[in-house]
Amino acid sequence: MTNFPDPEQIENDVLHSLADFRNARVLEIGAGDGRMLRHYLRETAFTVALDSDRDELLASRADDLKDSQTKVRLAEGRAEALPFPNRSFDLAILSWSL
Amino acid sequence: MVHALKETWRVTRSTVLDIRPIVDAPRIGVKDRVGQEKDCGSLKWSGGGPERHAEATAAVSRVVEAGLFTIGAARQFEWVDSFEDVDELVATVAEDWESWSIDEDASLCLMQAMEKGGRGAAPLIRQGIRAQVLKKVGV
Repeated sequence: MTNFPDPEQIENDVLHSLADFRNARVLEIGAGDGRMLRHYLRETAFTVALDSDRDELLASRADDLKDSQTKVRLAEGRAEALPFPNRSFDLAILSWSL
Repeated sequence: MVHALKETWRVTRSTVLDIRPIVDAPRIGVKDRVGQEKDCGSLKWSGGGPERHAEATAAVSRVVEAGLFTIGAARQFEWVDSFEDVDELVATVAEDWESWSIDEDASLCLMQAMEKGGRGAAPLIRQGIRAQVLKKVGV
């Protein structure tokens, strides 16, 4: 079988080369099923995973996120009207959502 | 999209990371067991994709020109999805790749390349992804 580089690992490396997630308050806009959360969630102070699709959000309660559930809050909403006060987050990720 | 960027600027203290596919259509092909790759063209756009990417890029330019953000570091990488066989690739495109399809010529090319590639060959989709840092300006 042909071997390919693991795209998840490449994406993880790219994210960490561009941003410091340690103890950061993070908003991921377009979090979908939470796939990308796995790259950084454990390092953050807390993360809000926002998506306009409630079904996708519920899917993000995947087993491999269970040990970090206290750090993540799921929020339904749209990028055009973010339901948060000014300067609530250190870092925002537009995750395939712009 | 400009409004979404302005909202993101409002709720963020310092940094926004914009991650999305680049405009070019995802490439499809077959890689054999020794690493030789046969290119079978690209997925075909069926609405909603490339134009949206161009709009997003224009929206980023507008908020930078407006003085809300400066452009920071960027990295580009390739997301490669490989499949057991052509049927799996075609089914995945149909189910998961909104706005994209695969035409008959490309499917035929993939099947022929798989046959020629023999045991260990794998069909694949290559999609370029770009991650861009936007640094917030102002309070």
